[in-house]
Amino acid sequence: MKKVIGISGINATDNPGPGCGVARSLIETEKDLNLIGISYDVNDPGNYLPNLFSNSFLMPYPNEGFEVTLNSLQEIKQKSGLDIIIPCLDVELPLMIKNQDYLAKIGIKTLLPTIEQFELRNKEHLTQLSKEIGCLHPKTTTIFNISELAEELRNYDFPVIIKGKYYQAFTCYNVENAILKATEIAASWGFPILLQERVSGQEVNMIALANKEGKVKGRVAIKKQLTTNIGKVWTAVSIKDNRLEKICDSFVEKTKWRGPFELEFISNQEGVYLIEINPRFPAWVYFASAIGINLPKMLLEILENGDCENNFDYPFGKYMVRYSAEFVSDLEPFQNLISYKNRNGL
Amino acid sequence: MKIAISHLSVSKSGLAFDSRNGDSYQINESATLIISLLQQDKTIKEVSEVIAKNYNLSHEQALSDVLEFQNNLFINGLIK
Repeated sequence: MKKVIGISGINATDNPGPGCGVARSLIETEKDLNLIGISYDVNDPGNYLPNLFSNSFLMPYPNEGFEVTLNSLQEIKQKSGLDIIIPCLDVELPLMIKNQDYLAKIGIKTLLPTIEQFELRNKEHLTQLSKEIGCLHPKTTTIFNISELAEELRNYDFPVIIKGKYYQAFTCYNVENAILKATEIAASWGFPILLQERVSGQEVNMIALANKEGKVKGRVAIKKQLTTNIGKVWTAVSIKDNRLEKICDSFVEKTKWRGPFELEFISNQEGVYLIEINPRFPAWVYFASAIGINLPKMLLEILENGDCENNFDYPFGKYMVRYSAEFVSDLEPFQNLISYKNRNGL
Repeated sequence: MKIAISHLSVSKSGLAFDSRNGDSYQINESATLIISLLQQDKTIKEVSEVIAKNYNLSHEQALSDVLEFQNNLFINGLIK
């Protein structure tokens, strides 16, 4: 019987989630899998991609609490036989992480860090963590209200970066602009927000996977060549930088991280600045898979067999180009998602 | 003197790619040859001898050109 893998983050717009990339990585190499989409929005493109997902289920938003989420997951398990879930959205991760043992009890496996490990990489802790793992971090202040922001901006040169705790970051060129963007972010995601100096340089990212014992099993580094106007990678090239590899290994050693993650850096003459740690696969996960480091597949091996082989060998100079495409579906999947909360109308 | 330059790969079209940071440089035929020779662990002296022969230059001129190219590599952060 095929293993049923639930994958979230299946939006695939110009700000794509990682879910479709994770699914593509798995479906192209493992035929004996049944992938299902876990979605929070009927309009997520992944809901309409039968080549990746045999079915797709709508979930209540994570802010409705774990009991509501759990009920929904149990219903999905009942209808699909869900064995494993690979969460790919920042906002759902705290809930999944806190309740991973409970999920295991009801037969849904995950490979996630502990909540303590997860908290260590929070944006407001990165200054300290960066020191401990041997890299730089831009000057950053955690802001809890707008008047505090106005005060703190006196200590920064423009432009500055205004960041949300989970999502969104804006480059701001004056006080009014900074306050406007901070207000917008706070309205969507609440406080705290982060005020950060802007560091110039090359944007380089690393994707990696750590096993249950907190050991790095595979990693790939890229340089962003072209980004969208909100900084999402559109074209990229694979690179090998020993400094990034050391930082990645130190991060895992320090935190004993379990599961996938992405390190975002800016590299310049002064060194390597750690900008952000995403506690999940990034949207460009398929790039790593396509050049031989299939981390979603390795994640499944860890969950099924306890561990997997190390895989660090990939070619540098491979070029990734993202593109958008259109496809046409019947209306029925949309109707089913609305009426039955799943594409197939179960 | 030998120079570590294994992080550079050069395409047939003369595009040198730095695998450490993803930077690319369009280089000419003689630069391609020099990088290729350095990657074969040739010394600066040996490289300049090949350049002198291939481009019909004096040994002094070839050595000067190779050293200038080496300096350009250094300025661009391609060697330490």
